Amino acid sequence: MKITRDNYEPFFLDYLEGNLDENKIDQFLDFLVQNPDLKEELHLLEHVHLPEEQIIFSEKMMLYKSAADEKVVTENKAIAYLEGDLDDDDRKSFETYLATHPELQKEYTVFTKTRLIPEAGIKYPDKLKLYKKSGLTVVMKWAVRAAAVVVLLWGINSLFQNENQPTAVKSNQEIAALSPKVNTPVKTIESAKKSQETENQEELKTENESKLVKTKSIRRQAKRRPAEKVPTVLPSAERDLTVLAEITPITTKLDFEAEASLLAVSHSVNTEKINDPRNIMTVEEFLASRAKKAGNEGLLSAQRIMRLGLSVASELSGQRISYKVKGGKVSSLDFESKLMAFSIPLEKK
Amino acid sequence: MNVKEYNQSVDLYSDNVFRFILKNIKDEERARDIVQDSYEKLWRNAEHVNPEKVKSYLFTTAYHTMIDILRKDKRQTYMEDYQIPEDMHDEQYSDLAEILNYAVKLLPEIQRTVILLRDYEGYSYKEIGDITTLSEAQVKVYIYRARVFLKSYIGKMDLVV
Repeated sequence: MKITRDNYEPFFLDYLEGNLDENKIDQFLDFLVQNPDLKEELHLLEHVHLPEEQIIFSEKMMLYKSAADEKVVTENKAIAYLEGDLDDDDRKSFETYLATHPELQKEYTVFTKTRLIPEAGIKYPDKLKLYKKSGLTVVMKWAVRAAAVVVLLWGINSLFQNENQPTAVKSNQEIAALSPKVNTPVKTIESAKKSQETENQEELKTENESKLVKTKSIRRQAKRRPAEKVPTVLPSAERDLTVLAEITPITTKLDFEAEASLLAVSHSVNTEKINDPRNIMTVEEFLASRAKKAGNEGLLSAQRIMRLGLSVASELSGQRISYKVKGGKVSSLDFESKLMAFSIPLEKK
Repeated sequence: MNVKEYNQSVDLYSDNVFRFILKNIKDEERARDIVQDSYEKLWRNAEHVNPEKVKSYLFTTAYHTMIDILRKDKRQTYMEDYQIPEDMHDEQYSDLAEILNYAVKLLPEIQRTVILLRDYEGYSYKEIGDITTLSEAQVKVYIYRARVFLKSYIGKMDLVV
């Protein structure tokens, strides 16, 4: 190839780097003589040279491979085997490797111990709060609650009735038996005195006859007072007439009980009074009479309506429900029964 | 899912979710709240939850609730100083189990989470990734790191014991 002004650059580079063929050196020198401007350019290129720099890669240690890396690879293999991440070939390969390296078996055994076991002792304590109930269960639950309320109300009602009924029955019985009871002890005393007189008069009679008379006398007394239960009198009182005198206080007791029964009647619903045609009022008349008692405020004032309602409730409940009025206003509600009593203050503080 | 399926999920998974959360955070009260909250969310979305995926739903909800709480709570403390009450101990509790239990507390939070899901619940990498919003590769790396840490901790303690 002939050197021309169009292709001289590669020849220049080869000459400067010492790679120009020897048989072309003469041709190259002739070209420079013929082209002195290019000879100057060649001299300029001779000075273009990059100095060598001392740059060192400092992370060479990271690139080196060592036994530790082999250990990491082995660990990763062991973990992968443990986790079931290896395919069949790798798994068999690892098993073979493990079998031929007993020192790794211990390492692998330690890996197997890293499996966490759930602690069965830890349990969620509030499971009951999480459960949900079906609609049917909820309905049943409310039905049961409603039934319980009904039963409770029935129980309270029957309790109140029980409070009234025995007293009323007792009072009726005792009222019915009141006159004989009051008189009976007197008669008893009289008959006792008579028997005493008889005894005195017939003192001379044989003791057996006397006993017979006394027995008859006692039987007669028993016939006269069938309602009286208490003085089925002490057998020991047969001879000792002073014992008969001791019966007298029983009269007082009966009188006291009669008063108590009367008091009980006043608390209970007085059916005689209710059934008396003179006392029968229509509902309107009854309410009107209570409204009249309730106060002098406007007919539809809240306090008056409240007092009217409470008054009616009080009367219907046998005065178990009552209220107190302070300054023209209902200040508290009271409830009193044998089981419980409470008061609800209504005044604003 | 219906009421019966929901109540079955309470029987089947409430202990597991509670255990998982309790192992991750210190506070038992909060763990209870998180479980309750998770079940409330499940019940609210009961119509849309596939009964076969209830467990994953519960774990996912519980995990994210826990993360939210931990992020909000500046004073978050992990289980270093938390001691499980004596009555909660399994009868089969051995020295190794105690060592491992302690080592788990020392794991970074995410490693602890993934390894608990893996070992306690037997979840796959993908399932754990779905719960924790990590890729399968990330889950795998965290599990591997956790295993290496636990193994080295056990190894050290093995020498001591």
